[in-house]
Amino acid sequence: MIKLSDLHLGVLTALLSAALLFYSWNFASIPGQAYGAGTLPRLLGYAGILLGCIMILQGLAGGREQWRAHMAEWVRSPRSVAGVVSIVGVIVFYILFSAVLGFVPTAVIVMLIPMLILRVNPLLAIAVAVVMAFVVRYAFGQLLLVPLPRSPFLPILG
Amino acid sequence: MGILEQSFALVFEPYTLLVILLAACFGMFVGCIPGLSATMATALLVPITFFMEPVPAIAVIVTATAMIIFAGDIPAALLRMPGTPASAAYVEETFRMTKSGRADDALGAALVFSAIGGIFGSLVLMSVAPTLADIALRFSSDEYFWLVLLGLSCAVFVSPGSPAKGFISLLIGLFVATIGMGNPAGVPRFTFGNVELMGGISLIPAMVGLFAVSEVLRSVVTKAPSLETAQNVRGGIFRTQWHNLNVYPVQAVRGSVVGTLIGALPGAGADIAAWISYAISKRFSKNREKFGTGHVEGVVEAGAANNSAVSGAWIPALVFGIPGDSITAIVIGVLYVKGLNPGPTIFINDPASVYAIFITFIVANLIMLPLGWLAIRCAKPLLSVPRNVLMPTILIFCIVGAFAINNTVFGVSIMLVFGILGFWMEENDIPVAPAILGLVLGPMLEQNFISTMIKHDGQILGFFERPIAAGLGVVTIIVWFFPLILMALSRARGDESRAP
Repeated sequence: MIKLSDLHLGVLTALLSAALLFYSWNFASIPGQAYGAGTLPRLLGYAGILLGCIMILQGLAGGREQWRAHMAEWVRSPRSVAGVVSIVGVIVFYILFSAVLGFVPTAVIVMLIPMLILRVNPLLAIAVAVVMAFVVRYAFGQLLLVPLPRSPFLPILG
Repeated sequence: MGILEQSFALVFEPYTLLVILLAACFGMFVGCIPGLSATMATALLVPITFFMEPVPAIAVIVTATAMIIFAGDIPAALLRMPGTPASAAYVEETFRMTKSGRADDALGAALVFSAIGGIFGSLVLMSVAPTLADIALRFSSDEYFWLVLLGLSCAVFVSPGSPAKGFISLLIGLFVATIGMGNPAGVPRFTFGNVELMGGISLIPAMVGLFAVSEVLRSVVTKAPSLETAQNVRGGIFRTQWHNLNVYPVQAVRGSVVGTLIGALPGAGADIAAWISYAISKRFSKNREKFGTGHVEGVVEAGAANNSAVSGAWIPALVFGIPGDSITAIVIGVLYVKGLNPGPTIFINDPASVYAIFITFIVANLIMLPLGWLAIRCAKPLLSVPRNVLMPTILIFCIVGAFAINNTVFGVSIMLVFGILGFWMEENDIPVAPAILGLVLGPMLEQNFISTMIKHDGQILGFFERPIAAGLGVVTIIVWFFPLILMALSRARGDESRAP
């Protein structure tokens, strides 16, 4: 993860605000009025451009250090990077596969992979993941009646 | 049956008392785990509250947050690692007391004065909120516009870090609030053809992402605390508290008052209240040199402040629908779902539920004493829960919680995006609280701004025509220029001191 300086944040804010201003330019108004869907986004765009410019000026006054972007400390640790990637990865996995696999198998994978990457004893990790998947399934699916995805080929596991 | 009797009946029914007890235990557990914040716990509780009646649902959040803010003091005193940011202000003090064999005094003071602060804040909430609501009934869009803008401005200037970064955060929140069809013209905005975005960004998955998922991500890149200094507290934690109360009554009251006021300020929560109260305590203490060496005075004042801030934050949330901190920002979402729409009319439409919420505050702060005692006695096993097991487990609760809002995986996608956004913001020292306030208050700001513009034919001066609106407008503008005023004053003082 890159840590941005005030100068970088200023440039990013100004550019994104300009894009917001451009995109919201043609939003419809309330019939018969000068105001409408575009009013607030346009004001946000102007405010963002102004803020970005102030941050750029402050950044430029801050010297050469402001031009450099720094990597976060944790990026140097492969285990930390793997941990972050695994957390994001398992959420994406849940989004893509929970409807196909069903809740319990997906939930077990969602908990198990980060635990293994974070060096939890594999037996403990499997036990916790399986037990918690069933506990969550029962608490939310049975007691709170949340329609958690059911597995078409593992009806018992749900 | 009178309103008060109805309220007592709502709180003292077995189901509500049971959920209060469970929420208290949950709060104690979460507070003891460094890295799990009160806001994160609230976000995780929301999906469960969906399936409860309004009063128990709110009671769960009220009780859990009160407990968490106190329980954060336990790892702070025993491990020098605040369980929540609200305990950070006096972590050095309580840890040094532990090192010198006075852990029982430190934790006892934290517990007793947290309860005192919490009850004080609750009493202020009970007495001030209905009066303010009476005044707020006369408000029109002009007053609400300025009130929202004042809240957002305060959130930018009181958030930790530079105001510029606070402003970036606010712009992010306001932009996200513009997504969807909920706008004055009723046309799709920033939906890019996606049908699910037409309804806007759901608040709860966004909150779960910003607070819980980002916390899970942070936990995998930070080291777990060492338990070397952790020990079970054997002494009687209440033994020295009568003495503390007799020696530091002014500090207890001052901490409670300052905490309630800061809590009521939008954007400023328990953590800021604790820092300011600790600084005030040090500034006015006769034993200033003892601060930082294991002196209980600052713990008394800041401990009372952080819990009273939790209650204080509910004043603007209930009366105006403007959250006092990130916890009440989530609570406002829950109130709407439960049909308890925040605003002055809630005191007319459903007074029994409102007074039941008030009673819950008192109950929560009272049961904090025995449960807090229990949590302190069992501190070591609570602190020993491995984070590498806990965090992936929390992740599945986040996913199910985000899913349960609309029963679609789109909520999980929103949670993921906001989780990464929250993690990135914290990594770049951009505070999250202004974004949350922007997200919650964005629709209210837009609606009142457009109504007022139409009402006054686009004349900006029209925003100052009504007396209360003019007063709020002037205060808002003073807040905007406050840093410049401070800068000019300090420069003038510098010139004076240099003058021969």
